[in-house]
Amino acid sequence: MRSAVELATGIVRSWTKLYTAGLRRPVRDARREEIASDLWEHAEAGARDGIATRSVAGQILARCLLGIVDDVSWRASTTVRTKQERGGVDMKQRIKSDWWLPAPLIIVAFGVVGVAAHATAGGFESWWSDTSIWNPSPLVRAGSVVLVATMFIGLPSLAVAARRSHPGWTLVLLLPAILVCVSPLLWGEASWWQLISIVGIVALVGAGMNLAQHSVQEDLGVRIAPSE
Amino acid sequence: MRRREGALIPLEAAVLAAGLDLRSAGQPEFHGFSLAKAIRDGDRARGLTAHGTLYKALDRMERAGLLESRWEDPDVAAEGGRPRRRLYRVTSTGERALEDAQIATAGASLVPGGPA
Repeated sequence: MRSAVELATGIVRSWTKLYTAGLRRPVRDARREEIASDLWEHAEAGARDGIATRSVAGQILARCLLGIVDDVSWRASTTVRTKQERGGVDMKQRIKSDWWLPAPLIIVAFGVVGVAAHATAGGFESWWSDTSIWNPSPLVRAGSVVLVATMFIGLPSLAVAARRSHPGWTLVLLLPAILVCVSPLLWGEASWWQLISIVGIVALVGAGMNLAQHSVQEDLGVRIAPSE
Repeated sequence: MRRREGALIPLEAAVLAAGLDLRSAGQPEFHGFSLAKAIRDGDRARGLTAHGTLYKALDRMERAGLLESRWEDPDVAAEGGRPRRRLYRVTSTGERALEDAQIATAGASLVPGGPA
C-alpha cells in the first residue's frame, strides 16, 4: 500500500516538473524542492497518524488537482515578472527589430496556398488564370508539392525560428523563397504578382538587418538569447 | 478574486492567523505542510490547502513583505532523513495587516447586511 503514496507523489512531482520547466533555475528548483518537502511531510504525517495510505494518496492527489489552476497562473505571472526584471518586454524595441517578420510569414501563407494548389489542382496557374493546363504525372505532382512546401513553408519557417540565435542562417534559409518572390519583377507586368515581389524584398531587407544587428551586438558582447 | 489595494484575501488572513497560532505554540517558523495542517486544524478550511493555492499565496505574501522565509540547514534535514524545509515566519507587517483585516471585518459585521 506504500506504493499508492509513492505513485501519488510521483504524479505530483511530474506535474511540478512540467509547470516549472523553463523557469530560471533558482525559481524552478525552489518550487520543486518545496513541493518535494511538502509531499514527504504529508506522507510522514499520514503514517504517523495511522491514516490509510490510500487515503493519504487521495489527499495528495486532490491537493495537486485543486491547485492546478493556481500552479498555471503562478507560472504565467512568474514568467512575466522574470521578463520584466530582465527588461525583456519592451514592445517598441521588439517592433523596431522584428518589423519585417510579417513578410516571411506571408511567404509561408503563400506556400500553404501553393502546396494546396499543387496537390489538388494545376499548380499556381489554375487558381488565378486559365492560361495553361497542368496535367502532371502523380510523381511530378508529388515532386512539385515537396518543392513548393520546402521552398515556401519549410525554409522560411526555419528562418523565422532561427532568426535570433542564427541570423546568418535566417538569410540563407529565406533566400530561395525571396528569389522566387522577386522573379515576377522580371515579367515587367504590373499586377498583384508584384505584391509578392514587395514581400520578398521586405523579407530580404529585414533578414539582412537582423544579421547586421546581431553582428553589432556580438561586437558589443551583448547576449541576444540569455541562457537562463 | 479582485481585492482592494493592501487588503487580505481570506486565504492570506488564514495563513497569517495560523502562522501566529504556531508562533504562540512555540513554533515561530513553519513550513508549507505544517501551515496547511494548522489552517485545517484551526477550522479555517475544510481540508488541506491545495499545493498550487498555498505556495502561490506564500510566494505572493513574501513579496508583499507579510512573510519572510529561509531554507533550512541541509545538515539538519539530512539528519532527519528528509528533504530540507523552507521555513516561513510572519513579519511585523504581516501582523499589522492581519490586525487591520480583523478590525475591518469586525467593523463590517456591525453594518446591517455585512458579514456576521
